[in-house]
Amino acid sequence: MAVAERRIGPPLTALRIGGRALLYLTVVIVTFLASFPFIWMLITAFKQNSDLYNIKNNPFIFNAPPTLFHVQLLFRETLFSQWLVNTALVGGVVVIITLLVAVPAAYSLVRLTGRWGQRVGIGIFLTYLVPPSLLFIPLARVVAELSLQDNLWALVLVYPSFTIPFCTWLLMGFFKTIPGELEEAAMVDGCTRLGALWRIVLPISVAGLLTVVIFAFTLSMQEFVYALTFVSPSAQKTVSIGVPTDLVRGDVFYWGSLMAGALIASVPAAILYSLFLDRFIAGLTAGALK
Amino acid sequence: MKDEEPSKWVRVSDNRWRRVTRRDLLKIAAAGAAAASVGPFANIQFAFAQQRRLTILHWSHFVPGYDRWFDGEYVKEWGRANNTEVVVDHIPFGQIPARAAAEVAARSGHDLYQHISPPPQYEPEVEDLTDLNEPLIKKYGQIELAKKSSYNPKTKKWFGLSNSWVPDPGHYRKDLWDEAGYVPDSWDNVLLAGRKLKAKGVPVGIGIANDIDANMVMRDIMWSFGSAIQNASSEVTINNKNTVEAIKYVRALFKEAMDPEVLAWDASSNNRAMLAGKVSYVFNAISIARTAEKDFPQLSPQIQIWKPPRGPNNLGGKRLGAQHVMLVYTIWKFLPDDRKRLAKQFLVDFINSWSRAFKAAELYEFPSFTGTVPDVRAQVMTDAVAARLENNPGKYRELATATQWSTNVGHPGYANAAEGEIFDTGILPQMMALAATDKMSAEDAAKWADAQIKPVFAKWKGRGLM
Repeated sequence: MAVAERRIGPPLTALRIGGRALLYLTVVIVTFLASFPFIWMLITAFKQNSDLYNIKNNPFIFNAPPTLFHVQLLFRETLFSQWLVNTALVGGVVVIITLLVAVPAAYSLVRLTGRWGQRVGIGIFLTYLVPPSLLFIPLARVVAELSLQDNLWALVLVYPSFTIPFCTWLLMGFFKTIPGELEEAAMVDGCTRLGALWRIVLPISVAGLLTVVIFAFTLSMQEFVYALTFVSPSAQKTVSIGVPTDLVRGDVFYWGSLMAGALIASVPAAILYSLFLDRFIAGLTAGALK
Repeated sequence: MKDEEPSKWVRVSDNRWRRVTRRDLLKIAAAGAAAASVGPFANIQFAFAQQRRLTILHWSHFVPGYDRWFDGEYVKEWGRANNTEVVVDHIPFGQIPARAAAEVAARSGHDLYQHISPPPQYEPEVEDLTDLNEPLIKKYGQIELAKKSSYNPKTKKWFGLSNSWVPDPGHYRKDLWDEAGYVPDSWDNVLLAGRKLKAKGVPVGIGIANDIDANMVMRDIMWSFGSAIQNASSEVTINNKNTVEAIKYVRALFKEAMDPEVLAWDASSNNRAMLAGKVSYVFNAISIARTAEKDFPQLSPQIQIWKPPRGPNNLGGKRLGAQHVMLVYTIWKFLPDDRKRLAKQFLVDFINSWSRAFKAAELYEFPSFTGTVPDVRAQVMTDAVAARLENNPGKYRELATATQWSTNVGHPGYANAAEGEIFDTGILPQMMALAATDKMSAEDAAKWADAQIKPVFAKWKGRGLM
């Protein structure tokens, strides 16, 4: 006679089933809300204008046959591909500059400056809170003096002014969680301070570094005021300014093409986030526990 | 290392030295001097071969074909004829003021800057274009509203050159208004029909928010009711019984003929509402009608154009509409003289060719210099696009009299810096909204607006610009 298998774990009471169901329901609702913008963009990008504007139609389905017209207009009538390249270029260089400055800055503030490090770190972060709408005029003067007006490199110069403060503060929180004894042990074994940073701290800090990369890139990608002020030739624009310039003409919005542009530009960022989600969350919450 | 005459030791790496003789030193110095002397001549040769360059900033035109014509055809022709590389940059119309402020702050910017509303606040920063305007006026004539949007009677300065303007007619659903038994020829009719149409689910759609459309229509209503922000001498006159009547009218229109969403509208809201069939009457440039022709062929024949409504007979019965867009070019003072001269040359040539621009703009823009398009009326009365798509060549015939019922922001005075600031800060729509939502009585709302407006006028008068 076969021995009946015992079920491992607490019994499936009605309460547990109900709790599970509620959890999954919450997850489904939150997932739907989070993905709704992408769903909407996807549908609108392929919807005919007459279908989109008809308030009697169900907005979530194609009441008329879908169309490629909006995507074709985006790629043929605008410099969207060039804007994507510009955005990637600016974002990439800004990420590198941010890492090169924020990592040693955060490390120094955490390890080498004692009590003042935390205060200086907060002061650095507060500069991030100054809105671009206040700074774009004086920065326009700086950019003009450097003869970078209407040049993509103006953005590479200006964007670190908000990515570095934020990322420095972010990395400070992360470096604080790394025991100083690890570096001390490395220095006892013959490493310099810089060597300990490079060989010991940075490999452990991959989550924090990825967080910085993602934040710096997306902050650069979505920035509007500086891109509008410092770059006006169409071939030099980034997606954030090129798309509204060419696809919002007077009071006429090319909704289908706008949604297609927004969707295509946001998909790489969404993929990046989801690939490194675990490490990203670890980076964000690193400073939460002592 | 000890120096030994006549040679010196020169360090070439961490632990390597070599001797340099006097002869070597003289050879190196002579070669360097020769290279340095060639440099400036190479630059001069490069400058002779270099084209001149003219940069223009435009808004992204509602008519994409206009930008294709201007950027791709006209400036290239002009550039070839004048040995000039012309670069045209575009920005969204809402960002024009911000970009202008940045260029002024940077003391660097485009040679020609196109504004879509009068820019009197930049008068200290821009060239006096009297030398362009006066000869062109003699040659072609100019409509009054263009002069009032680009000239300062106090300083006697032409701070800009207006090539064109855009009328702001009413768009109405003829099928629905015929059922209601009205045409939108008076503001009384708009309210009477609006009540019926709101009951049918297609209310009137006039924004009462801080956006360009609402700003224009609130002015239309004030003028039609015999009131204005200022008089012809730039004195504040808003707090009067005619303004109170206008506010009461807007409150009645809001409550009885419109939906509350109009309080949150932006510049595109009335377009979307009309094209979605949600409203029955809006004010706008013909972008709504043209979009309907292209994308909504079944709805388009129902959307017709009408002049702005008349005010009540007992308040003067005026019919006045603000210009929707006023295109004015300015040239920054801080530019070098050669660039300013080139920019002026371009402007004169452009005005002389403006009939081509009129065609490219598909009736959206009208000439400020009337003689540049002598047959405006004929072209408006027989629109080829409307004829082809709807068999209705006279669809835009109301625009043939646009100069008679259109006026400038600042009417009956000039479009001065104070009027510009009041426009940008949305004081008039706010005044109307306060009364429409019963936060204030009509009388108090007029007093509130007066209190907001007077300091603005005082400020700009103090700066000597009014």
